[in-house]
Amino acid sequence: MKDKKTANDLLLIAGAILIALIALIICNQYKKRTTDNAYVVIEINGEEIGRYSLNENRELELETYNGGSNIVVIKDNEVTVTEASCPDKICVNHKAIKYNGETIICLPNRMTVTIESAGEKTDGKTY
Amino acid sequence: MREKHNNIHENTGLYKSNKVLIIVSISLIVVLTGLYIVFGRESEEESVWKYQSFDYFDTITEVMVYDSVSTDDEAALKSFIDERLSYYHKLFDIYHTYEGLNNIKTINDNAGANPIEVPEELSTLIDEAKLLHIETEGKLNIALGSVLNIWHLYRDEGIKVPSVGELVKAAAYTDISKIQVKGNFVLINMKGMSIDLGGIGKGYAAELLSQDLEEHGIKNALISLGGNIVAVGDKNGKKYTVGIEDPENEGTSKVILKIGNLSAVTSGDYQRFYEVDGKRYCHIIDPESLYPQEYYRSVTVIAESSLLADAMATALFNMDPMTAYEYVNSDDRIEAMWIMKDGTVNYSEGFRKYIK
Repeated sequence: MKDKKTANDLLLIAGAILIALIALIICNQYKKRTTDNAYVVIEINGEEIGRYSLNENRELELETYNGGSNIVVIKDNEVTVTEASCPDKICVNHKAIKYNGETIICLPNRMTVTIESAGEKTDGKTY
Repeated sequence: MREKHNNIHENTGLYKSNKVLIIVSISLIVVLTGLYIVFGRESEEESVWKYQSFDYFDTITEVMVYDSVSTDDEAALKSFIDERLSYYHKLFDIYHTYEGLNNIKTINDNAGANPIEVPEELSTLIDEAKLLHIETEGKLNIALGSVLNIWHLYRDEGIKVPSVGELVKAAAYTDISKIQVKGNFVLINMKGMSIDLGGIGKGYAAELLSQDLEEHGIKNALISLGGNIVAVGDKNGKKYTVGIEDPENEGTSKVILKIGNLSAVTSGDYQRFYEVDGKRYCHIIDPESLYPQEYYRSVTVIAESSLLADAMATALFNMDPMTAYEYVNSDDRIEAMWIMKDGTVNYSEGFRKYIK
């Protein structure tokens, strides 16, 4: 009887530690995915035409490929495409992006909007 | 039999209440740790009060203060820092004279003629620089003014590189032993010679400012005088994080340091330079070859003294990799990191303990 109790205890503690570890990993992942110090990189036909801070609100009216046009809005650390001259509007319907590596693509106008990390934030910099 | 049975019941009861306790406490730990990681750290990143100026040493100066500063004290602290920086800027100025202040230009203008009485900060610095010249076997020389003036002219024009003949002629006027310090009097005992504090001025100013702040009652602050970092105290009990800029990718960090009560200074070829026929000539001139060295993209030095860190970053930039590596390992006051031309990174023996 006593042995079983100890075994159960151990199992419980191990389980709890496992849950704690998983929670920590999830929290850390979440932190990595936060959007401080990130850039919004806009490319048209493979050429970078602008790089803007994700943390500053702005609206960009862009002349895109082959006479097309798009409007990209950076607001509250999120990026959306609000208008597009193309017929399919996939980019306009795309959900807002805010994490490293996320992309909105407007294929007809050959525009990509990508979020890139500017590296880890530090208190100071030596150069 | 009966007794034993009771015993088991009691044990099970205790076991159950323990179980609940464990689950509750572990859940609490998990939730609190999670909240701390996600939100707690973020709020600590912020300094309590920040000073910024573009007015001194041709660069940006920032002071992040992590002590609480009352609104009334903010204005006083700002003008205090302004006043100190303005003073050091004037004191180390080689281009302008200021009424009522004998500075580097006053000393230079009186070369070969008169000893000049200067404030103690300046005579101390020149004394230190003479010692550092000996220690580094000539790789740091504040008497290089005549040679640097030629480079300044060519860099401003940006078309040509000075000839060997021209530089060698100027190098006849760089003998640092001709600079004599007696108490607070400084004499350059040769006409045509001049002092240029390029390799140590900002580091020394940052060092002096950190002392000023401490005397002013500030216990925790991070000073960046154009990338010359002095970490005073710590940040709510934690060390400061300081990025070493990646020369290939300015704005991002190649390596991140964790330091408290230390200085970190970098000398690099990517901030100030000019190019002739596709070849880069940076602003750090080797006192021996009289040309910029091309061993490294940058050298970062960590030391308690920001003057020493700045001086050694300059001196090490001018040394070949073997000499530089051995030099740092034999001097227990400094650690160094080199970013090589191909982007690889080399560390002195004790440097890694400062990496985050």
